[in-house]
Parts: sequence; C-alpha cells; structure tokens
Amino acid sequence: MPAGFTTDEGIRVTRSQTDIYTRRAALLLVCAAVLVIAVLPVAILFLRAIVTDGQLNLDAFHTVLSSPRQWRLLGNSLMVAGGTACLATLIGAPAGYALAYARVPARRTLAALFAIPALLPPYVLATAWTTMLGTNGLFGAWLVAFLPMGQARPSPFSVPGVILVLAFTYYPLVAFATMIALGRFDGRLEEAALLAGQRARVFRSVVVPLTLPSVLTGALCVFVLALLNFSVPSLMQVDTYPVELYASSATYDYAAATAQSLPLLALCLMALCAWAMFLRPRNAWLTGARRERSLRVSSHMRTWAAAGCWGLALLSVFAPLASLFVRSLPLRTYLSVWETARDEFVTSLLVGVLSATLLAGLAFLQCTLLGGGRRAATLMFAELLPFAVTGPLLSLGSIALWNRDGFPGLVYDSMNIVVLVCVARYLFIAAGILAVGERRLNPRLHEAARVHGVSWWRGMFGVTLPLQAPFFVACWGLAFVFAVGELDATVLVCPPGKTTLAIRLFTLMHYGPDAYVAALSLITAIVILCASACAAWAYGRMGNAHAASH
Amino acid sequence: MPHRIEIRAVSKSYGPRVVLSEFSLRVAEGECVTLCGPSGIGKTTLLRLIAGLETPDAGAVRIHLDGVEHTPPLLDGAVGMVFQDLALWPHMRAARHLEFVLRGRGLTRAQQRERVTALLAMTKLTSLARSFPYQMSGGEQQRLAFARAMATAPRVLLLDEPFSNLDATLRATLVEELWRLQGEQSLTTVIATHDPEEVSTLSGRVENLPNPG
Repeated sequence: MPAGFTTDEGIRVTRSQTDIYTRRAALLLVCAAVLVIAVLPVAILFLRAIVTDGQLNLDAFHTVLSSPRQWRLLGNSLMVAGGTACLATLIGAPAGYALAYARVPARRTLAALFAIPALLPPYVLATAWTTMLGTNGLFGAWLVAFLPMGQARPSPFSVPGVILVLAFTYYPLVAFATMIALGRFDGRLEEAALLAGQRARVFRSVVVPLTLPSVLTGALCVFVLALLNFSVPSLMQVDTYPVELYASSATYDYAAATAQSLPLLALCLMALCAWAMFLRPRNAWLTGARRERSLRVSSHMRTWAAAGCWGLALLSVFAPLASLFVRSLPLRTYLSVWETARDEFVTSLLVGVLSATLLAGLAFLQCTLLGGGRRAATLMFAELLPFAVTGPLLSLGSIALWNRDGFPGLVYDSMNIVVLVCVARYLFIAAGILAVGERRLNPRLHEAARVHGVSWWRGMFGVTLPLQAPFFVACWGLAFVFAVGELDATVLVCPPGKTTLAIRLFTLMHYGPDAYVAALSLITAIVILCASACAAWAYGRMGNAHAASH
Repeated sequence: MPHRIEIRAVSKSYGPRVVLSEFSLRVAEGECVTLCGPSGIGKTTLLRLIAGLETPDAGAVRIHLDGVEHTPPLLDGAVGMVFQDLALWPHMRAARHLEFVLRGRGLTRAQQRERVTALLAMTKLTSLARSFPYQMSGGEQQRLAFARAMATAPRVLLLDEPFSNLDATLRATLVEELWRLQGEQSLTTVIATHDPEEVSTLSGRVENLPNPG
C-alpha cells in the first residue's frame, strides 16, 4: 500500500495508520480508566467476600441473607423508597403538568426554583427540615400549639419523616420528567382527540396515558435514589439498609458489607430491567415532534396551577433555606464558620473542579469513541455498578484497591482518592448526559469530517466538542455539584487532616452547635447553587447559539 | 479508458432488510454516472460503500488511483462527498469549513488561504466567507457543501441527491457549474437521485438500481 501522493494542487493525500492506532489507543485508555476507577473497587470487594484463604466461602452471604434483622432493615428501606417515590410523584407530576401543560406565568423561574432541591445535597435539606419541624425546630412550637394531636404529633425522626424529606428533595426529578414528556408531545394528537371529546376527557385519555411512562421513569429514579440514600436516614436516626451497610463498612467488615449490598444491587437491577422492558418502549410513543400546542387551558385553571406551583416553591425551597438562615443567626456565626472551615471550603472546591473535569472528559471520550451500540451499553452498565452498590461500599472497595504500598498508596494518602470515588460514583450519570448529546448530533457531521480526511482527534475537537458544548457544560456543572455535595462515598476515604465541607457538616450534625451547622449547611447550599447557576447560564448561552445554528 | 471505481457483486443488508444484492458497477476515469431509483433502493448505501463509511457484507469495492488498487476507506481526501442533508458544520463559518479540511495536508498557511479563496470564488461564495451555514440560503449551503467536497482536489466525487429541495433555476445553475468543474478537473462523479426530472438534466451514464427483494 503506498504512503500516498501529492495532487497537482500540492495537496498531500495520505492514509494515516497512526490515526487508526491513536483512536484505538484512546479507546483502550478510556476502557482501562473505567475499569480501574469504577469496576475494580466493586470487583475486588466481591472477590474478597467469596474467597477466603483461597477457598470459596459464602458464609457471609448466608449469614446476611438468613438474618431476620437484615430483612427488617430491607423492609424499612423499601418502605422509605416506595413511600418517597409515591409522594414525590404526587407532588412532582402535578407540578410538571402545571408548568408544561397549563403553561403558568413565570414558568422558567418556577422550573429553576424546582431544580434547587434536587441540586442540594439531601443531608442539607434534611438539616433544614429538621430545623423546621424538629422538637426544637422553628415551627415545632407552632405545630404543638395548632395541631390537634398536640405533643403526640409524629416526630420527623421516623420513617415518615425520612419519606417527607426525601420526597421534597427528589420530586423535581418527576416534575422534570413530566415536563420533558410534554415537551415531546405532539399537539396535533390532542387537537385530533378534541374533535371527538371534551377537554378533561382528552387530558385523561390522551395526554396522561402518553406522558405516563415518562412520569413513571421519574418515579423509578426517585425510588432508586431513595433506596440507596444513606445520609438522610442516618441523620434522622432511622435504620435502613444503607445505614447498616455503612456500619459494616466503617468497621471494615468487607464480607458483611459486600453481602449486604447484594439485595440493593438486585433491586436496582430489577428497577433497570422494569424500565427497559415496560417504560422505555412506551417513552418512544412521544415522537419528539415538538409541535407547539395551540390549545390553552382556561385562565381560572392557570391561576390555580400557578398558586400551587408558587406554594410548592415556597414549601420546598424558600422555607427550608429561610429556616436555615434564621437558625444560623447571629451573622457572626458565618465569620466563625469561615475561620474554622476555610480549608474544607477550598478542599471541596478543588475536589469539585478535579472530579467534574475528569468526569466530563472521560464521559466525553467514551461517548465520542464508542457512540451508541452494544459496547457503549456494556460500559455504561459496568459504570452503574459503583452507583448501585451504595457510596459506603464503593469507598470500602476503593480502600481495598488503593490502600497498598507504592503508587496506589500515594493515591490513597492524598485527596486523589476522594476525587476517584466521586468519579466512580457519578461516571454513569456523566456518560448518560453526554450520550444524550451524542444521540442528538447528526452522525453525518462526523462522517463529513471522516470522508474529507480529517483525523479523528481533529474531528473530535473541531466538530464534536463544539457541537456537544452545551451538554459538556451541563455534565461538568452537575458533576461539580455532585462532587462538592458527595458524602456517602467520601466519608470513609477522606485522608486524615483533610476533609470536605460535606464531611465536616456530617460530623458536626450529630453534636455541633445548631447555629454553626445551619450556617455551614447554608454555605454549602450557596456554593452549589452558585455553581449550578453558572452552569445553567453557560448551558443556556451555548444552547441558544446551538439552536440558532441548526 | 481505465476504471476508476469498480464494484464487484456487492451485497449489503441492514438487519433483515436487504438493500443491495450482488450489485456490480464500473465507472471509468472522468466519467459521470447517475444512480437512479426510488427511495430505499440502496443509492445512498452504494455511495457510502464507495466512500468507505460502510463495509459490504459480500463482494468488493475497489478504487484505482495512479495504477494502484485501493479498498475504501480510501486515502484521506481522495474522495469528496456532498451528503443528502449536506452535513455542514453549524458552528463553522464558510471559509472555516474549507480551512478545516485543508489543514494538515502539507500546505503552508498562505497556500491554504489561497486555495480557500479560489474555492469560494469558484462556488461564488466569496462574499459569504464569514457566514455561518444557517445564515445562507439553500442554494448557498449546497454550494458550500460542494466547495468542501472539492477542497482536497479529490479524484472521486460522490453526490447524494445534490439538487433536491432546489428550485429549477438554481438546479440548472448548479448542474452547469458541476459540468464545468468536472470538465476542468476530470473528476469521476457518481450522483444518486430518485427524481426522474433531475436525471434528465444530468448528462452521462444512467444506472437504474435493481430492486434487491
């Protein structure tokens, strides 16, 4: 095969084998990184749990699975997850319909407000809700005075309390799933049905059934997140499976912790299968025709919907944050927080930036190199494992992998281990966001570069990255938010003397002064909301430019 | 005259759907062949096979350059292609499209600029050099896609439904430009179209694709 030739115009025409090799090398590097960061920590734990002294040993699994206490805890977890999913759907779905179907005034502002609870770490909201409703909470005395049950009112430190907090944290997922479904709903379907029926009947018989799979997808996400949540039940002193798993992880009982993760892993996989079998095919009913609905709901209806939305925003966003602020007074508490938690603040920002950059970069490379198809799905499934086994077990696996002499020890003794567990935990989500972006790109744009002889890496930086920029920014922003607020996976691996805001807050929540904890929670919330606002602004700007260019 | 493109009993399926079945075709150097047939008959697939964007399930595609036989994907830049939906990069200005394709081909910056200017002049897009594709009309976008396909001075030019969505006047102008370029540069051209009216405006050989089923 000749190396190529030069045309009469002086243009070099060559076939570069290097291009093929660098692409393969990059793919290999990405797969190796995913394997080491995300898969090995989980694999090594399972291996340790089933092999003792070179022999297959399933005693730990037998002990865990035959213990009535474990099943009771699993029952608690299922109650929390199921209750949270139901309540979040009851709150989120009407909110989504109100914003996207009734098209209430200021819906963009309301949508931004609804996103806040989902962006804030659940333990910050748990602190806020216990501040509001706890025995010594700001509204505690008011509740005692006005509720008929008086002193006998249910404590927030209970399963219903955890359900309430988690539902008000995760309802935006259902609301946004509903809004996305309605955004893809072809208005002509509704118009056609209206020729034969009344508006309310059409809503019941056409709009709701077509958008229901998306609403249920949101509910399923809430179920999984509530099932795996450790920080809120732990803070609210409710025994659930992840709390028990944390206790085993904190005592480095590898076998017990790994065995305990099995039911949670199985439930997550069942949820994924249910989604793939029943909900995913039905989501395709919405064709994405994006034809604006010409029909409008009555102004009376819209007024009620707007009142409901503002009421929800007040209850889920303003009230918790305001209660934190009031509890944090006087203002000099913030000075004290800044003086004592400055290092944690800097460390958290550093962890956030490094994790977000690594996550977005790795996910971008993975999506660009693999695209869609079976290989990409396999890799994403592997990335789901560290997310599904809960944060404490992932941190235990990372300890087992990295706590060794030599190079792993250097990683383990520094903040790098915190960055790595954050990457492992959220790689699945980052890859998911960029996979959506990749799917939306016209594949001919890549092919046009390929046919005209542009090398893959120039095509990646010259064509793919600029076109994926809004998704890349969204991915980076969300990854930063998750990493700064991450507690479940980092609480065990943080090296001594170096902690993050989340860990400091978690340790203080149990015995720290209330004003200090409230101020620190509010600072964490402000950092996360500022980062989210910047990412949303950049996404909006790039998204608008992107839309204009199509 | 030697053959530039040789397609030997090529078959291609997408799942259970057979698109091409043992199809053969030879295109001589400098010849223009129009592939004709209704939608879904495999015209685009055939162009993609020649461009190396797909691989055949059976049979072979060969391209002869300077007496050497190549299997697609070909030497980078030896094939130019105008896609059916044009596939212009929405974030790049017109001139940038051409610079992007020309970079790394042994040309100096000055030579690159010179070639870009010549290509824009050839396609009458000089005044739109700083425009994004979305700021151009359908015909201008088509000409930009054509300029990009011609940027690397390809030996083979593939045009997929190049004149669809254009009015008759613009189509006639573009066809005229195409013949002029083809005559000047001795391009081997393969055009895919489903429109019988369009076929009548194009000269050269017409190949009706057989129904594979």
